[in-house]
Amino acid sequence: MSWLSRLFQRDKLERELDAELAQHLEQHIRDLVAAGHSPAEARRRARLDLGGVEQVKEATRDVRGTRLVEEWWQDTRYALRAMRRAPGFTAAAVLTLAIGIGANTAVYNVVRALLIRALPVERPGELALLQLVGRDGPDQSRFSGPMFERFRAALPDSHSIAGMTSLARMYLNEGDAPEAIDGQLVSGDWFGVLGVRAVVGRPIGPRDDTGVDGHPVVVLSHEFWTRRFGRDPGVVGGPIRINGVPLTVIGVMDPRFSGVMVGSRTDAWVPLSLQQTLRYAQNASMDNDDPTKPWFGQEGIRWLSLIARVGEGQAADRARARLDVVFRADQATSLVSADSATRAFRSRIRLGLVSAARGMSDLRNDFAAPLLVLMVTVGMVLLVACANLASLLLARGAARSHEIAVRMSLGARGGRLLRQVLTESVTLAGFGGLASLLVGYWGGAGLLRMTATGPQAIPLTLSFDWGLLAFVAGVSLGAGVLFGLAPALRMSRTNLYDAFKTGGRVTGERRGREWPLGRMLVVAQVGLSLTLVVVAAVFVRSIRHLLEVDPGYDQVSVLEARIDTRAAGFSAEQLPALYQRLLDAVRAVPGVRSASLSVHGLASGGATTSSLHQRAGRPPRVRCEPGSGPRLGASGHNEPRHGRPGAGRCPADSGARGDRQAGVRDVAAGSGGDRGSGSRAGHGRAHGRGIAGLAGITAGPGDGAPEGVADLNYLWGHESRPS
Amino acid sequence: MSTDDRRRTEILQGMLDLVILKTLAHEPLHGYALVQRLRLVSGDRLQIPQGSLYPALHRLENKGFLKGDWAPTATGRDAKSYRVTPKGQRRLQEEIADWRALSSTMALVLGKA
Repeated sequence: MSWLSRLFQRDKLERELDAELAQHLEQHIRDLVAAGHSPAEARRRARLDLGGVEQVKEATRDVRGTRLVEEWWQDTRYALRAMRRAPGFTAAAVLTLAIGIGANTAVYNVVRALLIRALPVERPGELALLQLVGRDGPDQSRFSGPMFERFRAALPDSHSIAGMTSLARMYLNEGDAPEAIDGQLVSGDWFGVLGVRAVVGRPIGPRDDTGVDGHPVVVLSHEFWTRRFGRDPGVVGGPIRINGVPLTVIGVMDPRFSGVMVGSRTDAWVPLSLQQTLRYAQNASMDNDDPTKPWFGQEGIRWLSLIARVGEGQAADRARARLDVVFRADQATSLVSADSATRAFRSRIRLGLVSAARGMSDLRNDFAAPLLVLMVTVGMVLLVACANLASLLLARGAARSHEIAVRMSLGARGGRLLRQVLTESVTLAGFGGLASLLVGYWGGAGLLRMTATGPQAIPLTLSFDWGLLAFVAGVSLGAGVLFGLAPALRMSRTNLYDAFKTGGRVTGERRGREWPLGRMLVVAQVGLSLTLVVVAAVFVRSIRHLLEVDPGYDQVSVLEARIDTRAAGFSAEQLPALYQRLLDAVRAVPGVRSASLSVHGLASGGATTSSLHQRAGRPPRVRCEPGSGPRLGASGHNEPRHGRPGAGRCPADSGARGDRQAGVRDVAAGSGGDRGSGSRAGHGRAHGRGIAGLAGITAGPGDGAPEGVADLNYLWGHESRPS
Repeated sequence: MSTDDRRRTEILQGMLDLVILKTLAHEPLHGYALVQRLRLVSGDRLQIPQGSLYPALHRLENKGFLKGDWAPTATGRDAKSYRVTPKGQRRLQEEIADWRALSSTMALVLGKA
């Protein structure tokens, strides 16, 4: 009979044991009577020989090996009965635990999704991103097409490195109005390097990424296919129009794969060769280039992130060495003609490989530290909850000391009682853990909504799987033991004499002296609570500081709209006239005091930057990095910024102050804009239309801004209406 | 209980499995009959402490060396009689071999002493 069946057929085994021993005694008695003993004497001797029926039974039960489980089940049933008897206490405890554990579950789930989970690709540990190390400012490791080709040639397996752009806003022209989607341009090897498959059709392959504009194909994410096309298999093979260009849908990717940008959704992938066709022109560093021509072949346009399958350990080191040779040669070439300052600046840059196993994520950079702080904070919340429950249980334990004393005098040992009390607290924690799953579910989703600046939650996939359940189970068990240990220890050392002497009444007057547990708990509670209060206060202070940040312009009565000329189908030639018409129309609105155009919006996070040389000959520095703050680009119309014209600085990111700023983000065509007083600063020919937001300087048009590069924003002020 | 008795009991407990398996290998018996048979075979020199008999039987059954079956006895009452399984037979041979090895070693040691 197996262990499991012994466990579950306990009643049958008990009956059989009873019958077996009864039969033994019966036969022994019969033999003794036959040998001339009186029936009473025979019974006595038979029992004596057997050595006590109950003892034999106990010894026989022991050899079943199921005692621990049986006792655990006994304890659990006892705990359940105790919980039913005190429904109020049970509800309070479960609720406390649900919140405590639930908060941990929610935060852990986000931490896991953002910081821990590997990409759903083949052997993610072998993937690495090529990164430039030793630069100032945020990481912008971008490479040009020719550099990509040279890296590729340097690796033994030419299919082990792939390039991709940042996520780009694109427009799907399938309905009445263009729909904004997030697309990514990827090299032909990209899907192969990652090792992800299509569920319908095929992914983009090397042959789709040759020439310029040769292969107008697109691959959709499963999520986008579901959301936009209702999983219509007819979409695959047919054309869809993106940015006005008809592209053939060749496949839909695996549902688990939503791109390598963790925390962002990628809707569609297109080959790099379509850069010019789709007028992709974002996130690039340029140097003596011609952005109006296809980018891939140009040395000066650095626009690609490179991901390589380099293997692990020594293989990765070898790959790094090979890539480094190429990079150093590139450096040497490019520094020949550079001035000394540039040389000093650039020669510090080295090539590094960072693991791409968990994908890329701006969110991770922004939120890793705050999330860990939050994790610690919710951990402390749980500790406080445990301390509270421990005190409650201690109080209840004092009331139960009589019951415990009775059980001890009946032979229950301390260890057994300890186990029983711990079982009670762990059972309680188990219920708390179950309830916490709900809290964790809503909490995790809520966290993503709260953290997002827009109306949409951050598209981070939070999964409820075995890993998370294991986490909840572990935390629940830990919490149960933690808040049960103090009361359990105390109970198992109940002083029988005291307990009985007081006739079941609480032995409270001695508790303070003999058991400082209660006091220690209070100290712990106060300590933890104080820490939490301080953390909360600091938090509130930070928020107040953020609210008080002076963005450098009058925020009252400023409205902003973003317009998208490309999606609307305007050509570059039409734009100057269009902008003028729009400006005139806005100015004609009653109550509008002034209106202006700018390349980037206020607090849009977008930026066009150029390097500046200072006269002192210090190295050039990028002064305003993307995302570092609101851009003021009143090109020629200084009035709107009533406040302080020319407040040139990079304010701290004031977040989306966007309540009053409606609009459509633009990737406008044409180098339009006002021809105004924008004084050109710096040598940043780049695609730089100057440095919006830096001293209010905005360069004029016609300085090589490619079609499709310029962002255009409207900025106009309203008169404050007297209320 | 005298010192001698206790020592004999302890030795017996160590050998209990072997004795039970050997006896039951002959023919299946229920607990009480097993006690009687042992007493008979050993000429009353081996007395199984009845208190440890049933735990031992159940332990051997749980390990799969014995198989218990309920069957009516001569008196008409159902009794659980144990028989040795093939696995138990193998175990018995091992135990016998172990015992022989041990006793010859002991004989050697004691002979020298």
